[in-house]
Amino acid sequence: MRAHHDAHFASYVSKLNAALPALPAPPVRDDHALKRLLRRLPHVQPPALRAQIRNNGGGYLNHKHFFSCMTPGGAPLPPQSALAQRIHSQFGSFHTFETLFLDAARTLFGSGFVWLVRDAQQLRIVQYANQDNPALHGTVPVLACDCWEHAWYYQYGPNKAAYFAEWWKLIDWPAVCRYYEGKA
Amino acid sequence: MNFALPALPYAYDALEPYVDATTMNIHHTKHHQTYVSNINKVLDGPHGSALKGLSLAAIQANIPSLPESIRTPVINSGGGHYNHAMFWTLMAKPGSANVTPMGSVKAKIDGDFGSFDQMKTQFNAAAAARFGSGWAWLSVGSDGKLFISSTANQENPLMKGVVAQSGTPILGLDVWEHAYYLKYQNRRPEYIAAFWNVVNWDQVAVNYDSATAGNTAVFDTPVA
Repeated sequence: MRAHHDAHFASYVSKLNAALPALPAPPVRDDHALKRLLRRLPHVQPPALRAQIRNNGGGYLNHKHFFSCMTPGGAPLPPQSALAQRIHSQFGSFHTFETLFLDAARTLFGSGFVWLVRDAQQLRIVQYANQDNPALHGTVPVLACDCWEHAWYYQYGPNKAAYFAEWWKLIDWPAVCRYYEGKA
Repeated sequence: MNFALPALPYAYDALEPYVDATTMNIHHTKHHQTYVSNINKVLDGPHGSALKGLSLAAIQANIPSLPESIRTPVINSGGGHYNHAMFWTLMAKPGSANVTPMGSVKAKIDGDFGSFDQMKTQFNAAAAARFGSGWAWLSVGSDGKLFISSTANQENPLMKGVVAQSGTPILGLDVWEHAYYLKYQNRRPEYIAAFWNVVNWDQVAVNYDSATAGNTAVFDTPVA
């Protein structure tokens, strides 16, 4: 946690801050503006800056979201919440959804995140490579799982399945609900 | 015939303090072993016959001609097996092999890059700039010149039709986090700098001679 937050996350923040001044006005001052920038990345000038914005802007947003989806001991999904109902109607059961999500995490090859995103009216479980943020794809992030080796290697070595199973227990489902409802 | 995990040419702690023993152990017995097991699953699976009779090196070069349904597993696991089998042979216990280029590979590096230091600067930059998981490579190109590149995940320069610039790799460095995290955490440039202390230039010279003769890097790929 310390290395993840103080080294990796911090490095994305400082590299993003170093890249932003090179963009033409208006300045990107908040997360919404950054997401809008990512949404139109293919049109961002100069082209040489795009990879830096994609990787470090994504790294910043992804880690912020990831850390905010966890809480010590986890917090359960309120059964009457809109998210719980949507999961049931789309996946059949929470258990099926959990299985699909963790399978996506286990099978992601290389570096990336697994997300639950809202895409129009649908929930989708997606794998995005490296630090690609859902804003690039126009999808709304709901739940984020960091599958980069740095997220688990120190404690779990190569046993990533054990990490994902333990991470699942830390999820702050009320926070995830707020993302789903557009309140966060 | 299925592939088997090749033995490491040295003890797990041979590359200390540059690459730690725990990393070498997990990297070899878990990560590399998983690639071997998974490429064998492809061989044993529905389209495995497409790979029958192909050497591991030939598999790398023929990805586009494989059935579409097995291309990704072959790139990932066939590439993973090739890359790691080669990687172990590129390193040696400090003091047991030449740690700087010599002979014809030295002359070639000096000719194509200006000097060993200039080649290392470019290689280090490529290794540091590869975002996410991947490898950095020194390869012989189709024009006979050495070039430096990096590839994503378990791709390698032999994979014509998959990678941006194909060629015959003679030296490579794993920059997946599992290759360095336990000792270096996110300090990848430090790991890259340390790598040069364990490079086995005797082996790289053999690989270079093989590549210029139209073959690929020389290392064992034992079968089960």
